[in-house]
Amino acid sequence: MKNAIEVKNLTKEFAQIKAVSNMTFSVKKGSIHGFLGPNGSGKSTTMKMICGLLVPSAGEIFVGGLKLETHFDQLKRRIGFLPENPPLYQSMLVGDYIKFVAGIRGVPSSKVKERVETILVQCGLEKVRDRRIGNLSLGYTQKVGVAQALVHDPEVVLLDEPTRGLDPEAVDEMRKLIKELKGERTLLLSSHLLNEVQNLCSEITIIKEGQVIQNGPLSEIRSLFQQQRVFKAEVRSFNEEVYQAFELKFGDVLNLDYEKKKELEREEYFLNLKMPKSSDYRSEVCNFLVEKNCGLLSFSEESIGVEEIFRLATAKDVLKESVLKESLL
Amino acid sequence: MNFLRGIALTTKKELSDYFGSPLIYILAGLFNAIVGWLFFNYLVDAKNLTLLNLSHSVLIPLFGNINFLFLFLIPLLSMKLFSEEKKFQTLDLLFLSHLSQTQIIFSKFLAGLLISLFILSWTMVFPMILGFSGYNDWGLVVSSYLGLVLSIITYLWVGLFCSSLTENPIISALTTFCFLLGMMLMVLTVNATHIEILNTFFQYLSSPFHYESFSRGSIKNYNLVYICSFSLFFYFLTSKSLESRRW
Repeated sequence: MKNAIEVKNLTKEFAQIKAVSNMTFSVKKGSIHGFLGPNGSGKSTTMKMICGLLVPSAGEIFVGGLKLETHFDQLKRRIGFLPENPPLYQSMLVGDYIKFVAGIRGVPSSKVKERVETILVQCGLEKVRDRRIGNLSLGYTQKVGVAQALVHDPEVVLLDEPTRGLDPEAVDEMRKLIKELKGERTLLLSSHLLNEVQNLCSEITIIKEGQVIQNGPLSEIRSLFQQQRVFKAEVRSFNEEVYQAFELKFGDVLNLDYEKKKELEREEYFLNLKMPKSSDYRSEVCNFLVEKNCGLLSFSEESIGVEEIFRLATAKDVLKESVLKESLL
Repeated sequence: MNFLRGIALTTKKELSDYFGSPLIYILAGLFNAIVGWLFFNYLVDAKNLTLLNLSHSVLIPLFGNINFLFLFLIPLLSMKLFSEEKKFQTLDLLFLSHLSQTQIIFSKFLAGLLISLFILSWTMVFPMILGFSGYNDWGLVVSSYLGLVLSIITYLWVGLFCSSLTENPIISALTTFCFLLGMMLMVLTVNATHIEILNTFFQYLSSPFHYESFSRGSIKNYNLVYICSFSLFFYFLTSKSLESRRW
């Protein structure tokens, strides 16, 4: 698969302060790529450089194989950008604003009306088309921001914190909208809501202090950070005798702890199992629990969340991938 | 994108912003009330209502005062042109659009000019009143209006540049006003210096000196050179100021 965005050794200095330092990463065409990092790590600066609003101090950016520096006018047409604060004219009506943006973004006069209608429907803005932007709720304001980024039908869309400050319902709607865009376009999505990134993105880039710490498919990064496999099991009965038998059989390779909980007047036990990444004892463990008449209710693997990956990756003194790997081994 | 279509789109949006705000109506009302009051006073003070007297006692001082009033008006009209775009980050939207920087600057300038001309147009009623009473020196009236328009153009370029420097419209208005006042006070420097070359230099830089030629009805080619070079210089500064956002 071709890369839609390629960033090579990108550096941006503001008055001798390096906001972005030697950053290299790529975004595959047609993917939704998560861009993560703590506050002030350089996410917004990088996004502004990718869409050409800021000139890099050093390094190169390629969008669709073309160098941004030399093909900026051509690439402007192919990039849509929703900044952290959407660029909205508060006094304008939603419909008029989208029409204005379509006009200045080069949509041919004959197609403006049709394009505006399409984008209003796509972003769920038909109901508010005659309302002033300044009077809209935060959810609708963000949707108008997304609409302006999409109105000229760009190939690459950069969304900087699209769900910032939204209530859960609005977050859900925004997530649905972003999912709908998948496949048609390449999306680079920066977000603080890690759960959202986990649900939407197939690839992520984690940055800290202007440097890339991790870049690649989420599954690969997850396996890198996952030191051991963790399983959760629910059983009807469990006691010290069974625990001792378990320890005798699997004690060398598996680590087990359990706790008793009352669920709807009945006792249940929650087992927490940890096994090495390289081995698979799932069927043996299940057979053991069945043999001992524990009443196995559920058995599932707990995979490491993006939140945990983010916490590990952005932990203090962890900047380089090599250092990170060493610390995990 | 077609150069003129781009300018027309943005100018139209700017004009609807101007007319959608009460500020423009308040400023236009106040301005014309002051000019009307001045006109009435000059007319009362004029002892002999002859053609020559009407020009020198009423119209020339009236146009001079209109020019002076625009010194206060233009900073208020131009203060939001770029500063508010910077404040609400809508300038990024314009930069990412198909509009070139020149189109963006000229559309803002054109919107400011049209709105200033809208306010100025109401003052035409005063020469017309005199016209109904037999006044017929229209050459002086046309020349004075031309002088006023060219003055407004120079003031607007300063306002546009100052607005591109800050996100705060108040700071933009104050900076423009200080700059324009400084330019007007240059006349005092001209009077204070006895060195011929300096005298001529400051005189040339001072905007009222050029306006005076128009108000007397004697337009010189260097007056037009001044307006053109002044506009180009401030266009260049505005352009550089906007470009610096990307650095």
